[in-house]
Amino acid sequence: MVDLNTVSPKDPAKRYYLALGLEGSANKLGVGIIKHPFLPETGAAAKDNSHDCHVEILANIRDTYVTPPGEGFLPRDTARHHRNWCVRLIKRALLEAGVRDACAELDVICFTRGPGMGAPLHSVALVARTCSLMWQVPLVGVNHCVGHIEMGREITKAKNPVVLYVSGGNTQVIAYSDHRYRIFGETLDVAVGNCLDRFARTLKIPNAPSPGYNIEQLASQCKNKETLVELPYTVKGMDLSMSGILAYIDSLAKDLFRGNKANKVLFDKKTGNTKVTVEDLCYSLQENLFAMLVEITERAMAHVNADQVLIVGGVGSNARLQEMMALMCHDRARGRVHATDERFCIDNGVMIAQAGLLQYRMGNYVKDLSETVVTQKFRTDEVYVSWRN
Amino acid sequence: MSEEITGQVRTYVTDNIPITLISQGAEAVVYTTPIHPYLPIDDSTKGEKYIIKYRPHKRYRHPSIDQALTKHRTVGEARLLSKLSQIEGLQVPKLIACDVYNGCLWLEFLGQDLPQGAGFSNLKNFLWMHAANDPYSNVVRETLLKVGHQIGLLHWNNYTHGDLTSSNIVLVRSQIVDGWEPHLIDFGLGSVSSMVEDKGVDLYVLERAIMSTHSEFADKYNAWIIEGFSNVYKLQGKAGQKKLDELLKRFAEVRMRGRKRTMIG
Amino acid sequence: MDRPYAVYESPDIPSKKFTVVPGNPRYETTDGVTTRPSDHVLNAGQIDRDKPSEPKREADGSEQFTKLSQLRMNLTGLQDDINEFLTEQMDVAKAKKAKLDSLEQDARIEEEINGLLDGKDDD
Repeated sequence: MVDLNTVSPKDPAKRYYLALGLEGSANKLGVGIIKHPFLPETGAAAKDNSHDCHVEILANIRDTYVTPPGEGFLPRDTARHHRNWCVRLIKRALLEAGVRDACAELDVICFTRGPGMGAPLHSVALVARTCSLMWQVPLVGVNHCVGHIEMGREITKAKNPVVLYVSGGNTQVIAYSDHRYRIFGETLDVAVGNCLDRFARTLKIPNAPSPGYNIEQLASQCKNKETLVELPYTVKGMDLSMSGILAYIDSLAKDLFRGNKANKVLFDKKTGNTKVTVEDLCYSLQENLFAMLVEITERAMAHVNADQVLIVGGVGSNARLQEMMALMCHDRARGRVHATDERFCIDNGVMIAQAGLLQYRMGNYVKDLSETVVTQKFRTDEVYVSWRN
Repeated sequence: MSEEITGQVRTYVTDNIPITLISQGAEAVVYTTPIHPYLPIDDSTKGEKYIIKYRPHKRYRHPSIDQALTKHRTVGEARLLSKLSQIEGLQVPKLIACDVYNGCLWLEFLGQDLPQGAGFSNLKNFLWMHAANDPYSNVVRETLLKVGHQIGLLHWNNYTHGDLTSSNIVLVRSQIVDGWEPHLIDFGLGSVSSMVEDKGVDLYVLERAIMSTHSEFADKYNAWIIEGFSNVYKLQGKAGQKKLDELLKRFAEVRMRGRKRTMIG
Repeated sequence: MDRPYAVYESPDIPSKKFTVVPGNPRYETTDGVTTRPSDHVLNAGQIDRDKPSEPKREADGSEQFTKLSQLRMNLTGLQDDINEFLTEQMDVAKAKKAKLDSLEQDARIEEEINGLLDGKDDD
């Protein structure tokens, strides 16, 4: 029995909660404003409604720090981007949501406490603290990964799914049990999004709108889908490793770029003609990495006896990954896959507001500003999930 | 459970071999059959059951990855099982027949039903059954020490399992004493390896699996497994102790790495 | 108007105060030295769209900067001071660590040689 009404809304007459969410753990700066209606079930009658809060999204604005092709984003420059745009984005979001008096109307301000890059996290947390003091609104520090999960659950209404969380910095298979999101499998080295980003950099594939998106487009244009470029397949139990694959495909990409004819995988031994194109490499890399992801997800499903999968995180918007996952779910248990589109998959402020508001409604918010110090390392299973049964 | 997979298997084994599904793992489906592939049906084989482990074609992955994996894993598992069965004290299912291109293994059947309708006798169900009344009872302790012993034997002989979970350990009622004999099954990701890293990861994977499915009692359960594991190495004298120290050190490192790895969202 | 200041404390440094020096151009701009985009991305062709806005002057034609803009400029200068100081501290810490590491390395190599002499078999 979870009572999501333990804290009453700021203005009890309004019968709803309003939350502002601020996200800036990587190169996306997101501001979101959401509304939760006050649920009729209170006290003993309350059910676990955390995946069905009837959320209303009043504003969801994002600005991405984009670097030139071949370059990654550095913490310092990313933080600078966030510092410069954060106030403007908040102003726009408040206007869009029709919030005239933040001080009187907002119930809570939620911000990403980690995991992520230190400097960008820090610059956004500073804005959150300032707004909180200025408007006298309580703060909630949110785990970024939990934000993704809660948003995905609310949008898709998936009941207790196995969660595949795939982004630039994370690759985890998660299942909920006993008030924690437990990590069943994860990458032992680099994250899948990072692997794609770095491969894109070697090939100077543009970073806008995102390197992963461009790889997906190139892969879909591959003309020779029957033959794959053979890559290492490195599933280790429920975990996986991607550094070896990255190193190998990166060396292929470099040879292709430089026209190194000595490479037999890429060039015909006799004629010296190219056998493999950039599109082929993108296609093979996706097929290989995603097969591994689907496999470890299936392992977790078998282990906890689940029939649904929820994909969250930036890489989760990839149509091929969703398609493969859907095939697996169907064949496995006539189950289904839940995914969201780029508005919610890619880092955003709304997801931070969603997870933060749930936490706030359970009475768990910042009592002292010292609790708002951001942390680069913050595991998904560290969070006590009080809002679920 | 998908009908298509069972359809595939029925076409493959033909109607002469009746099959009953017992589990659909992530990678393979497992059936029981009363038929032995080459022994005649007589009094000695009557009432016996055998396992057919079939790796179905996975539609989600590219055909060339699928074929390569199926063959590679079936060959690997068959080869591994035949070698493991020669190690004294190590308990794994016996290999009866295999067809690597079709991803099929014929194996000895292990395990039985647990009392009180607690399901099949794998370690997961066994621990869940005991969690209800006495999670730290003597039989649980004894069993987990033996589980550790089995893994210890495996590692000491330079093999790794690759996917140690509480569902991949099957318990068989002991013929000699009142208790259970753990058997390791599903060597689909197993390998020959003398690397401390692989062994450390093996232990870490099991520790995490125990933590995820038996979270409340995981600390003690894991400690018992490691105790049983360590005893195998300690019996090997000074060299064993040295290897054990090295392994446990790496195990701790893998655990730290797993937990502290920087995660950028 | 009170000017902003900052104080740094650590086990090594009991207290270091950063203050605005009136009249110094460092504290009269919103474009800090240490808060510009890194040369690395600029060289790669980055277009800087994240530049802080120019300070604003009072609307009464007095040429005075607004209170908020004055604060922004003062903070930009202070931020530069702090960043430069912290970078120095990092260099000091790095040099210390490098010295320690090289000592550790020597010890490890020695141990390995001894180990091999004793017939140690590496995994």
